[in-house]
Amino acid sequence: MQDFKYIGKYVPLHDIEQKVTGRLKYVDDIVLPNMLYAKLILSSVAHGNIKNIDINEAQKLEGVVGIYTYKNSIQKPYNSHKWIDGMKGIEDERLFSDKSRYFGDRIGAVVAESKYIAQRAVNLIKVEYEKLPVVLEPEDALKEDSPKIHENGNFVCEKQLCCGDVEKAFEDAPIIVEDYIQTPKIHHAAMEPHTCIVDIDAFDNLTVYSPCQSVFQVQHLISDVLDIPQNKIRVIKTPMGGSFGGKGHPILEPICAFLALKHKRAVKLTMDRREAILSTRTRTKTIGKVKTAVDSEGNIIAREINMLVDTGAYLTNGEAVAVAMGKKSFRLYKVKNQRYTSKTVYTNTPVGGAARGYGSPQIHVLTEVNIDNVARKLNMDPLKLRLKNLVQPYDKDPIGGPDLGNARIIDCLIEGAKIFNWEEKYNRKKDSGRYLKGVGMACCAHGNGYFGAYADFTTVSIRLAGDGTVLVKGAFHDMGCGTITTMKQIVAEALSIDINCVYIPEADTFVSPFDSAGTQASRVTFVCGGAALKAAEKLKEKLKNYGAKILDCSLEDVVVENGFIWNKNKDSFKLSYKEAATIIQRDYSDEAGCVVTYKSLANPASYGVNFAEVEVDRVSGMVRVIEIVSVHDIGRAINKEFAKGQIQGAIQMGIGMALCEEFTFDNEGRITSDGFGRYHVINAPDMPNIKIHLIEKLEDNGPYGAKSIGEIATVPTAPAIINAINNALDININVLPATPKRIIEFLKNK
Amino acid sequence: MEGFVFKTPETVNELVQCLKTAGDDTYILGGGTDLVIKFKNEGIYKGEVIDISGINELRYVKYENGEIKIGANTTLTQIAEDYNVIKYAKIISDVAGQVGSKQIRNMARMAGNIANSSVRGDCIPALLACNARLKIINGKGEIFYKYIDEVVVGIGKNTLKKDEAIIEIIVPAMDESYRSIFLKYGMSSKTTVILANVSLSVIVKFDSKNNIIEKASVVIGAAAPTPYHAVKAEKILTGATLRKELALDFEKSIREHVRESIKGVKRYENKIDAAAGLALTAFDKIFDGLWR
Repeated sequence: MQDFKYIGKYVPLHDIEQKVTGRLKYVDDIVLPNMLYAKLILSSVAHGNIKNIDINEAQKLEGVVGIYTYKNSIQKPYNSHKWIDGMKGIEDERLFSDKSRYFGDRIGAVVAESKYIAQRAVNLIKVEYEKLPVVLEPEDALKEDSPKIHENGNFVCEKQLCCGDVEKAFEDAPIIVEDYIQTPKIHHAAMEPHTCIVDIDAFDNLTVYSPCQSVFQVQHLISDVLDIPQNKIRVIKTPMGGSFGGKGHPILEPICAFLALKHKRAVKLTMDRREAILSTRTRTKTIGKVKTAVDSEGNIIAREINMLVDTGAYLTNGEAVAVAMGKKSFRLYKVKNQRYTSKTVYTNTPVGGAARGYGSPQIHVLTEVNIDNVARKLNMDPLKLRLKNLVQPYDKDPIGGPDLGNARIIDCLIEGAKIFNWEEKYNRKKDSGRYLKGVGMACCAHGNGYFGAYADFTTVSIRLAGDGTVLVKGAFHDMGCGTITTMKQIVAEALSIDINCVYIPEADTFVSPFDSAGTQASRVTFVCGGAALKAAEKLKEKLKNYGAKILDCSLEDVVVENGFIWNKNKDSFKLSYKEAATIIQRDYSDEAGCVVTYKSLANPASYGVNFAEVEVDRVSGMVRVIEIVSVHDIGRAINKEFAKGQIQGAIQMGIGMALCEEFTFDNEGRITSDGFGRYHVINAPDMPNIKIHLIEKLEDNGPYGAKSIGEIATVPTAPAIINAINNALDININVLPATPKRIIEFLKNK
Repeated sequence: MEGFVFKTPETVNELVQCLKTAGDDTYILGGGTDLVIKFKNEGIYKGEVIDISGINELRYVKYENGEIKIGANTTLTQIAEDYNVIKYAKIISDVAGQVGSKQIRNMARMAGNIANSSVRGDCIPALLACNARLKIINGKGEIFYKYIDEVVVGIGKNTLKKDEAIIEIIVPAMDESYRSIFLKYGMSSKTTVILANVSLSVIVKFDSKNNIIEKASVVIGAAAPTPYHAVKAEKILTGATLRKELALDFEKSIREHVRESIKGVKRYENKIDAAAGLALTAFDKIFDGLWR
């Protein structure tokens, strides 16, 4: 085992002291001179034509400086999912809508001297609607007589992925197990609601302060919608109170930029919790059908998956997420004959978008619950069924996707089963009283970037200054999970320098070189970390080359280590990095730095498995999760504590998906779960005992062997819990979340 | 002119002075955990706020003349952790320790919970089960007493006038022959901040020598606009000998009560099973498994 100074070790978050002492400024803490405040006018009906907007009372309010709706704003259609020039896709979103397509649709905005005045004015604006029939269920959206949400109808697209001969395989199959499962729309529930500030200078250059996931995406979208040059827009990624995909699309930024340009003053636009629940993005709802054919030994012969994807009122990534989830289903089990078909539809519900796992939690609920049902049908231990069918290291993707790489899911399963004590718990006698225990497991696969799908490259510059400190510039976005520290660990290790000498600012379009995709697709450690490593290695090589010249020795004799450069045959004299950088500048007219454009070389799969033990109250239907064992094939953890923190938090989200998180609607499509009093997330006291184990068998193209963890960690929890509840009660839950009410209904209908 | 005028009385006398001029837009601020949200939700941008959090003489818990007396400026955390409350009114300690999250309990006052009269205000049913009284003062400095159900009369509705303020909560002390419990059911466990969608308060006077329940007070919360005594359940328990069937009869009667309260509204149906679960748990915990 290689002896590392920083890799695999715990280094605290780079801004933890500033966070806990309150010195760190989040966007809503920032007050710029002469700044205006905006608030959105949100629709109060789920589907309706706007008949009249009465702004008279609002206009009279002292301090109101502007009211904007579709009537007096830019109406260029766009798709906030597009993050780079040249991306194609349906453009159905506008700054402000001329029709309400969901409860919470953006009808307009008020700009005022204070946020209270802006809010008061919003409350005084009366929008009159001609109500239209609502489509809340994706299955209804497919019907021919379904009321049209957009001109072209509610059906957006169908996608298909296939390998082998599915029809023939099913014809010959001895055993077929079918399942149908619904997953809900989910709110990301980041602590910080959506917010941004746009400042403007005398040349109408804009500076956007945004807790975003991709500064270049924000720049690109504002430029596209407002038709101004990209390079007149500077986007600065600010500290962020969580995102989980929810801040992946620029939602407020184009609006705020439009308002700043109108008034030639800085504008702040901050949402409250209700607005963030209603009018940002959600995890897409899915209705999945799966059919799996197996032989009597438990070998999977074929599988057919149909996924209905509810993208909500606007498309955003509804097409991409449908494909992304499909691809995952080909990378976990060896299924020679498989077809995945998705249909994406509009409904009069909140807008779908990126959400931690990007479709992966949804499809794995469907397929992993189905795998357990296959095991039940075969009267086989689900562990053994999985072990028979899981992929092996270096297997190929059957639909021609990137190779799976060092796929270690089998290791995860074997080691996790031991930690969980699966055999004993699975085989124990069932309780007969009020409280019943059950166990379940679920496996999952996820990606490492966009290689094989979209442009996946990033440029990083690195420079060793004459004072011995290193500055690394790249479009790094820290979502709060430690990206900056992780990059510092990689650079400090590769450059063999004290980590306190490494400085890495967050993304800023005027500071950071270009990055093709931002914090998406679980690419940050694997791709951006790969770039940071490459840049540090290149700089070290440069130091070595100059070292040979300065020390007047052969290249082979130069040692570059621990902040010093020396001739291995003459270690009494050591040149510090600081001295070397100064000499390189002074005597060689060069800088101790370089710029690297790193193109991702692969997209291996990350894997994980969760084991869950639950206790269910048969009288009230309440579920208590007792224990989760979570094992992940992470390649190598750059910072083990961060990796474990990611998994802990992801389990919290997974339990929510399994048990209580969902958007609920009344008959007219009004959202009833519009606050944390009615939208239930799992709180700290409800967290189970969690055991985390990491499989670190190194991935070839990852920095120091690392691969992704942040998204995949949230995938296997919900299906493992559903399997455990099914195991406890001998039922087959097909609607998530498994609320007490639903559990009681399943028990009554058993 | 918009905005709030803040008044910060430091004594009860000063509070009376403030109440003297109280009008329709006067609000009494305790911990603010309900009031600030009310301002935001209802778009209240102006008014007069009487902040009672500085009145130290109302920050107490006393055991006096067979009664527990709780000053209106006492936080839920202080109530939950108070020795006398735990000893003589365990159910009140239970409920105070289960409202919201720790952060909420460190700020919220029980008097505020009553004054806001929320359908999901946890403290009200427990206080009703105890037959608690409220000491109220008005702008003339007059003091009078009212029972909890004389004050809380509906969702967000109470009979307090604008110039009246609760200054003390009085709970009859219960000796060791009493056993009590407050349980609530939310989407999750009792330790969370999730608001109750049904609660159960049970107090019994139990003769453990003869295994007989002498008295019972049972209150169901959050099933109807106001909490109410589950009279059928009380009848079943009063005078009964402890036995297994009693638990099941008790559960059944609670089910019936809740079924009646929800008046056939389908989305509330889960409250029936939830309350049944609480009934069995309450029985189990109060009698410590003695009945099995």
